[in-house]
Amino acid sequence: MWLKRFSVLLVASGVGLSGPWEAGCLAQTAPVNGIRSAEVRAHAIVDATVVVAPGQEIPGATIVIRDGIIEAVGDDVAIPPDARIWSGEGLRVYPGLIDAALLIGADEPAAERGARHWNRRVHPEVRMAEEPGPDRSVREDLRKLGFTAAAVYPDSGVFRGSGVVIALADADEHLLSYRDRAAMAIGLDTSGSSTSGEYPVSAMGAVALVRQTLYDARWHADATRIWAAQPRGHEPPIRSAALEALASVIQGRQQTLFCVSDELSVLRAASISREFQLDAIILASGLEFRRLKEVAAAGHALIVPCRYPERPDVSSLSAADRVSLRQMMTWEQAPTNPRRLLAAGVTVALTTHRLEKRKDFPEALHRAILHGLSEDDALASLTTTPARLLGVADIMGTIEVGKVANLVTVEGTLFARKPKVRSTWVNGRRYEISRDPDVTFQGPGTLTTSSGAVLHVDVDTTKKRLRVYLPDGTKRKAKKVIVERDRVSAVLEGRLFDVEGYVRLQGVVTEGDIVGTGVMPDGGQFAFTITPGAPTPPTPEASKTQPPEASKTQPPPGATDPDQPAQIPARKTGPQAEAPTEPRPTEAEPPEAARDDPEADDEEQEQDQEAESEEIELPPEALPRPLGAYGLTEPPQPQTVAVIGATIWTAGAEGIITNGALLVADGTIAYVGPADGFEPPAEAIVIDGSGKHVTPGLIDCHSHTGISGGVNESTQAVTAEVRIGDVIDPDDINFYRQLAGGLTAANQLHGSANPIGGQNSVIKLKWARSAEEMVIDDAIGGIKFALGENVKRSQSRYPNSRMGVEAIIRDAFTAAGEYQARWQRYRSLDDEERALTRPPRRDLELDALVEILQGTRIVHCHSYRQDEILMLVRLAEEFGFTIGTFQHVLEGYKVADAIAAHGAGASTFSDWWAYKIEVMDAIPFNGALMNRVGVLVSFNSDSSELARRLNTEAAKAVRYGGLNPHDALKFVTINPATQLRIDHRTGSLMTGKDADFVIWSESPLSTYARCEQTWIEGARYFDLDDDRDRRQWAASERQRLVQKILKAAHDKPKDAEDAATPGGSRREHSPDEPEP
Amino acid sequence: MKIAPFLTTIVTFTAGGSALGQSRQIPAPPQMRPAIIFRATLHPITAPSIERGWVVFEGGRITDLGSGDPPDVPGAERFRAQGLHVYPGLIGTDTTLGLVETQSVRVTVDYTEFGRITPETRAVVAINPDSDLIPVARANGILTAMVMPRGGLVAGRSSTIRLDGWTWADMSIDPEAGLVIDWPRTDPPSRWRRRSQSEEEQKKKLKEDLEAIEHLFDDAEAYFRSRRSNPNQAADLRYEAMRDAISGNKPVFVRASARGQIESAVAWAVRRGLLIVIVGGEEAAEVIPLLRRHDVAVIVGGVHRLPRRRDDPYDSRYTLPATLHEAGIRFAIASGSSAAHERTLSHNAATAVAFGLPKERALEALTISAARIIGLGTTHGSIEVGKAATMIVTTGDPLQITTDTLLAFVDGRRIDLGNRHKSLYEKYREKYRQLGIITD
Repeated sequence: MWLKRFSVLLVASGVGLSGPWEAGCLAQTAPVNGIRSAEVRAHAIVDATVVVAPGQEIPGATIVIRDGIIEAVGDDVAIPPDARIWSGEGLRVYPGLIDAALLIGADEPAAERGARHWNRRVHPEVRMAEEPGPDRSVREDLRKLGFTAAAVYPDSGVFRGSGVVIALADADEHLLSYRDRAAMAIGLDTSGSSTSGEYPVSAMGAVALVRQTLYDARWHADATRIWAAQPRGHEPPIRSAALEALASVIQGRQQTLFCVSDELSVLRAASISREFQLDAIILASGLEFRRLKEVAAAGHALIVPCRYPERPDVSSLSAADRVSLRQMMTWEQAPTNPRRLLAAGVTVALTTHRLEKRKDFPEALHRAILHGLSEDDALASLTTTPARLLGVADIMGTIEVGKVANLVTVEGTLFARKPKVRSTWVNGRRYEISRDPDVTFQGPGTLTTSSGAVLHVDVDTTKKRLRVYLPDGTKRKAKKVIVERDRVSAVLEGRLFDVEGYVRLQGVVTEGDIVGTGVMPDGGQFAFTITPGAPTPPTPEASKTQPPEASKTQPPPGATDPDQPAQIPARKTGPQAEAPTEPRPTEAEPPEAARDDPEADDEEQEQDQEAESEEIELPPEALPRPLGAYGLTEPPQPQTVAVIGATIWTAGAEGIITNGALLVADGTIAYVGPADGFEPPAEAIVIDGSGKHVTPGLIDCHSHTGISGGVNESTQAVTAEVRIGDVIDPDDINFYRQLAGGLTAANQLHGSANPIGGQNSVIKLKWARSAEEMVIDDAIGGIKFALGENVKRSQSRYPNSRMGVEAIIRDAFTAAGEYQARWQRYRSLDDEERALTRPPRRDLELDALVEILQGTRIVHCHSYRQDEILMLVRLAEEFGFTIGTFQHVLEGYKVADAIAAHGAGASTFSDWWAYKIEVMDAIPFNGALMNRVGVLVSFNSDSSELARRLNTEAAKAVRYGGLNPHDALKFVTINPATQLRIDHRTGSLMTGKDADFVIWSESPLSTYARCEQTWIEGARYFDLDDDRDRRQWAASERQRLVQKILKAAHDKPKDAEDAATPGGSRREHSPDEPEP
Repeated sequence: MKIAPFLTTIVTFTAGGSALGQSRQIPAPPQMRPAIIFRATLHPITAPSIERGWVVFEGGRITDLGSGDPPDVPGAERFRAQGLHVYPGLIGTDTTLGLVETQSVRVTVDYTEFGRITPETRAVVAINPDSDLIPVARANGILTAMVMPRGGLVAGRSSTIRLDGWTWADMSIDPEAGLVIDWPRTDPPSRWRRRSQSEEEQKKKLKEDLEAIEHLFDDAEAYFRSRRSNPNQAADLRYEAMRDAISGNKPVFVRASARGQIESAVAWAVRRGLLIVIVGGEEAAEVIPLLRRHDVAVIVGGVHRLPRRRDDPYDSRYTLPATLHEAGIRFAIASGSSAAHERTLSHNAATAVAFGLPKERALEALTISAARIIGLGTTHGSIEVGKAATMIVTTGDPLQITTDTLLAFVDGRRIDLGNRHKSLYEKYREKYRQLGIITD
């Protein structure tokens, strides 16, 4: 291998830098086996346009490089006599690009190394500086794009390990690390399958694991510190490579890099960072424009991929049916992402991460530029910004004296769709990416064979193209053209020579001609010459294949008027751009001449069209939230509004008010009562309520709508540490559909896979707002418990019986009690004692259970059979707390007296039964009967569909059990509000409460009732007329996008898209090339 | 809200009929003497409603009806139904009643046979007359049902049944009502599904499935020809089971939801000259011209469903029946629910009314239209002389959840409207009576 030939370099740095970049540090230590090979480390790139930093260009400048460092740059720089000179004429030199996130596989630490974290996705002790680094092919691919440095991180895990910033050199020994310990990479990875049984399986589990691990790191650091101060009387802290590795993170000494997969996860990462005051940057998904406002507000620098979604398939009506407006808009808008983020004030570094093929990066970047990203911003996001984010701005990112000589030279601009990258310099070593061929033959020519045939051809060796024009104006392409430097070979159809089969040609470009030998299908050989210029009008003798009438036809492109002199293609034999010249670059022949063929052929025309089609139809600027149909550019705002003359179901003490009035101001209810004598304030919008019914907004006490990444952390029997609040998905279209059914609030619950599940989140359905804005922040915390068939189903873990369910819950609360006591003891220590006492480990799972014991968190327990219901009542009473609600509680009617006496609520299905054994005794009278016995009852949906019709669910309490209609309506309004402890704000229409209400076309208990308007906190979130407008907008936007997609598909079919990928030449280095 | 029944007959009946603690209902004996319901609002469905109406039935069939003072029918059992309403019994068109007891317990599920092509199976023989699910459906006025096998490609033959009887044979109306086909999924492969099956695999599977159906019918026709002329041709139960469908005597019930499925199934059936009924039909609104051109009926597989696509209007499933009605497509509304929840049948139709379907059409979709589509148009689905005396007496509009069904007759037999739920309700009311918490 050529790189083995390096020898020790001697040096004298004229610049006088010190530190790791001092010359000589890079010396090879291995002995040379054979003759030493000297390497020239002084270079000068001359006559180039140097982009020293984004927006700063010096034309006709020189860059002097010595020993990997930029020694001088400017338009008035003396070239040192020892420097090797590279012509930069026609070239732009940019600072070498930096990929801020190169994710590669790393070995997980072996289990037998000991002190491993219990969860195999937690391996922060991995250090990429100690790993082999990216493959040579990856480095080469990146260099071809102009990248010279990259921050490398492990590609999987939750705590993945520390990154390293490296030079993208070719030789492994030149993979210098610019920064040994870059950020700690954190991902929200899950095991992805409940069958694996590995924690975490859900997105919320991953967040919980991050959170707990960071607390553990803090605790471990404290324990270590205290033990160091006071070894006597303390056991040493447990050994943990993982927690030790995280000490620097938790103490703010090491940056973190969150690697996420969508825009909502950016916000989740930001929220974790806030909680632990982490110095975090986020490797984003490229879809941040969908939640731009929130992402910008989070304030983290982002590393942004340029991978855009595939063009949706709308080729048939059925196919188009499956594509949502959201998908189409995402496709259309994705290239605006970098520009929008920058405009919103976000710090953005771009990365090749996520691209299926790295070589697609220039094209993707170009698309971003077409969509409004400025070239200066693009350059900054690939140079100065990543340099700053990675803490290496003092040594790279710009072309400045003293910085590392990481450069990229480009003919034209780096930001073209297919940039012509000529060379990439890494640490002052030049890697040639592409060069023009040394010799070319371009243009029309005359092929004459020794057998007397004369053909009109068109040759372009730079494009590996040879075409034969027939007299009728049609043309035949050579089947296969191979060009190797000055050698050319081609295969032609035999019929051009009046024979069957194929004729093969091979020759060289010499003195402007192509001269060589041909072989006929029968093996007969002949000599041929291609001379520049089309033949004079051929005669029948000249070409036997030519039909006599041919001359009538239009001359083919490239055929010249016989009166005009034939165009002679230019030859290029002079020194190439950036080819070494001595002592000063000679005047190179303008390479343009060769390409200056005015007679564009079809392919060139196609290319021109492509270039024209780059004048893209810019996507709309305003983006609805959530992106897609029914989203809003601005969320609904509170109004002052009065509904007059309606039948008002208050769900409160006033009962049903016929001919009532409701006044809403500042988001709350200002008046509810008889319409008689009520005068709305002048500023109020008045809604005529005659014939209408008004109810409080409906509340669903059991919902799984709008939860990202799984509703069950089913891997462990107790997962009290996971939180639905971490994974709310405000984009779930079912929120909008439920608003259209009068729902305004919901209890988002963890699933029922384990006895003690995760923490709930109580939200209002504030469509078009953020997850954070949806949360009812003064609702008491809740948690999901579950009993019965679901929790004992898992064969691989405890429990497998209802007996075990009781035992494990008892054990959990026993542990929580002990934990609580440990903390009480610790807190009761005086300051001095506490400073020398190891704190108990903070356990988020037990924290949640302690909150239950303290009554600050309420249990919502999935349950069916009377035995298990009674069991939990007794267990709770034994531990001194009250169950918030029994959920489903289908046999609640059998033990309603016990539930009522305990004080738990019951949130049940109206009439579900028979879907499994434990619900065979479910009866639709359950709600009404429990209610009669004194239980606070609600009806819930547990279904995104049913949540749209809770009003008619309430009617079932009238039908089954004979409740009066107003009491029945309470089952879906004030009762669930009370169960969720949000009745101080919502659930009934009372002065001072949140203005959450619904206007119905008739009695809400009638199956014929339609929800006409849904208001939350005085803002209209659903309205039939608005809905009609939104549908129309969605339909027209769909049509616009379908047309745009069809046009894009027509202009650029998928295959062509794949083929039209930019990239440097595939030429391998060979020893005879002037490489370092 | 609840309207009290007025007649002593009824009161006596409810008390006696749902005796406490009785967990199984006793099938009613055949109608031995004539009966008359009078002073009711009569809803014949095929004719305008009749205030102060009466209907006479004898031997299981309706023999006379009219308005005003009831005729004197000698020896008749008389039901005075002042303030009450009489409707034909509701018809569940797409059910698995009797074929399943507890969804999650496989051994209680009998609607899917091994193999993907099982036309030889028929639903009726597996119907458990003592299923607890049947009286629950009946209590909401559903007295007739089509029970369909499910799964695979050709699932078997559906059966129409009356929801009262000692045996399945008693319950059977038409044991072979039609051939049931689950049409292959023609949707373009989804990106999400690609994880388990590549796009190519999905396309290949679709092609294979479509070909399997074609081959089956080709082979069956060849078999019939051979059978006609060759006495030694061995019998094949699968093909024999398809005879009525292929001859066009009985419908082919094709479960199809997506536009592409419906298009493909209708084209296939028309080409083969089959009488096709689309079951499910979620995207039927997208293929109206095709359905209209071939007069294809649709059994709407439930109204209480989420829209199929994110961009669809929130009410797209609610408005489907109204759309079909406006386009003149024949349709029935099914519950779209599991057998246990068949009782919500009429609530589905009601939601369609809230979203544009005329109320009369909604009732028809549960009665006469349903009857016609499943082959019972001449005997069921309306109150007409000569038809089966299968009727309900309700406190009001059966499309309202709050409406109670007080009486039900199946072929003139007054059936027990009690069920497991009412029994358990009674049982536990007794618990709270004993505890002194309630008194009634």
